[in-house]
Amino acid sequence: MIKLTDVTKVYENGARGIDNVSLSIEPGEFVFIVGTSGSGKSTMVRLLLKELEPTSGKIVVNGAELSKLTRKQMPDYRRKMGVVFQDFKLLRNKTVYDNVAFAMQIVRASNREIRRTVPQVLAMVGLAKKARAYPNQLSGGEQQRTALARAIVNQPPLLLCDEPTGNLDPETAWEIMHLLENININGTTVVVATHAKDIVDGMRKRVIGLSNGIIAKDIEKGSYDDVYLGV
Amino acid sequence: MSFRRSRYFLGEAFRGLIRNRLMSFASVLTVASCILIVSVFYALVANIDFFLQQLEGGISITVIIYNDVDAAGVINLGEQIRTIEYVSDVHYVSHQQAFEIAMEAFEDPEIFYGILPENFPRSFNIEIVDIQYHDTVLAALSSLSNMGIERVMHAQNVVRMVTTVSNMVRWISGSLIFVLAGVSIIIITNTIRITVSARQVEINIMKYVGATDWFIRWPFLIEGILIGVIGSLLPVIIVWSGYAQVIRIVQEGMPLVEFIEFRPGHEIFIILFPFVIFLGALIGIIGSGASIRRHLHV
Ligand SMILES: Nc1ncnc2c1ncn2[C@@H]1O[C@H](COP(=O)(O)OP(=O)(O)O)[C@@H](O)[C@H]1O
Ligand SMILES: [Mg+2]
Repeated sequence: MIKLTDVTKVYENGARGIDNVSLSIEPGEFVFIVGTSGSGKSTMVRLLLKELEPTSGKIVVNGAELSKLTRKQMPDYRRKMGVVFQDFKLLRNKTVYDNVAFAMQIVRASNREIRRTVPQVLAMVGLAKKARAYPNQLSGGEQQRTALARAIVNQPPLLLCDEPTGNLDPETAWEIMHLLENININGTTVVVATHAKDIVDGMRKRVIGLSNGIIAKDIEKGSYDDVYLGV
Repeated sequence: MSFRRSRYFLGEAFRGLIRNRLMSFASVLTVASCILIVSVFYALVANIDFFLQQLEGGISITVIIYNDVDAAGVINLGEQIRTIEYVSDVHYVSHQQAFEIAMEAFEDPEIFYGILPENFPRSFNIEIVDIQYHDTVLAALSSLSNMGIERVMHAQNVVRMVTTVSNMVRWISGSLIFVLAGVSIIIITNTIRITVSARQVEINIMKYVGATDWFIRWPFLIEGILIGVIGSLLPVIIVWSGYAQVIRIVQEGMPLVEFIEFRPGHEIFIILFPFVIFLGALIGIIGSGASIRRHLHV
């Protein structure tokens, strides 16, 4: 599903985002990418989104080698993955319903399909009653649920999350994590970049630890401390 | 583009117009003032042209024939003149006809007492295809001067003035439309650019979700077209409804102008209307296209 080979990203100002990273994530996995602030988690996610180009190395996602994707192929590439950010990134002038429907309009779904699917997905993330609300009328947790609904409405094989619980209180954070777990059980590969120790420890999934852009540890069913303190 | 998509884009465009109503209003006003000047100027040019056409119609060349040329010589000369390029019509005026024309021109025929028709020279009246060939025809006539031509009478100065004025008017109006369209495009580009920057975050989000450039672009382009079309409809309707009024005021206010014919309104607006709508739409689409270009590269 995801394969990085000797990937390095050096920013224009010389800062090292990630440094010679190789890793492989199989379809259906649930993976945490952990590390302190500045360790390179977001750089990794943005590389996978092809928002950034690696300075060197090879990235393959969903069978596509990213350096070979043309500008024209980008929309199609992005449609095959859901993305969730710390700051939700919802369209302010659209309702919850329309934010989710938007992702389907882009892929030319029919109106009937949209009317059938969007309520289902909203119900699944527990937002059935908020369909007509605008983002600024929602709590952080509700906004993130909306973003999650939008990310999965087209049933992408891969879901990328960058600090999805970063702006949420612990209880809400757990609700989101359980939703992610459910999505993963239904077959979607889920990659979560986070520095939330409690969550990583509670979930017991594969943990890839970054430290100054280098992979420190890669542990099945790990905890946050495993990665840094040794097993 | 499917009907469903067009409806979505149109809806987004209208929402954009309303959300940024102040900017939209400013852009519409910009287009409107430019189109207003273009429309007024066009109506003016159309009338000047119309007036020049009437003037041109009255300009012909007269070839005076020597009295000692016999009938065969006159016929021969007439045939030679007819073969000159750009000559559209040749009309023979006999002694008698020249006499009658002179009699008609003066209210008091008494002054012709004792003058015989034979004292009035025969002539050919030459009409040319277009006033611009006036000098060419004159040159051709001068090569026939040994065939019994006493004199060639023409209004070269008037001709020169008419062609100069008409060329100048066309040139000025052309460049004015060009400059005004350019100014409108620049102003629209900047006003729409402000609304696009305000929506940069949204554009980025759309790209994360996998929207194509065209999916993002269409609502902005339609917004530009709407601004252009609304902005051009207003002034053309104003000028149209004001046109007849202005003519009436001019004719009443300046009695001397009364005999000048004005071009009928429908003749002007059947051309101006579609042209201005097209120009407005073009200005809008170029303006919005230019303003969004930079923002799509994410
Ligand atoms: N746009 C950028 N320009 C320059 N340096 C950057 C940029 N983004 C991140 N970095 C640098 O790259 C390193 C990794 O950052 P990041 O991937 O954001 O880490 P994390 O998400 O784990 O906090 C840091 O040293 C950071 O300063
Ligand atoms: Mg980060």
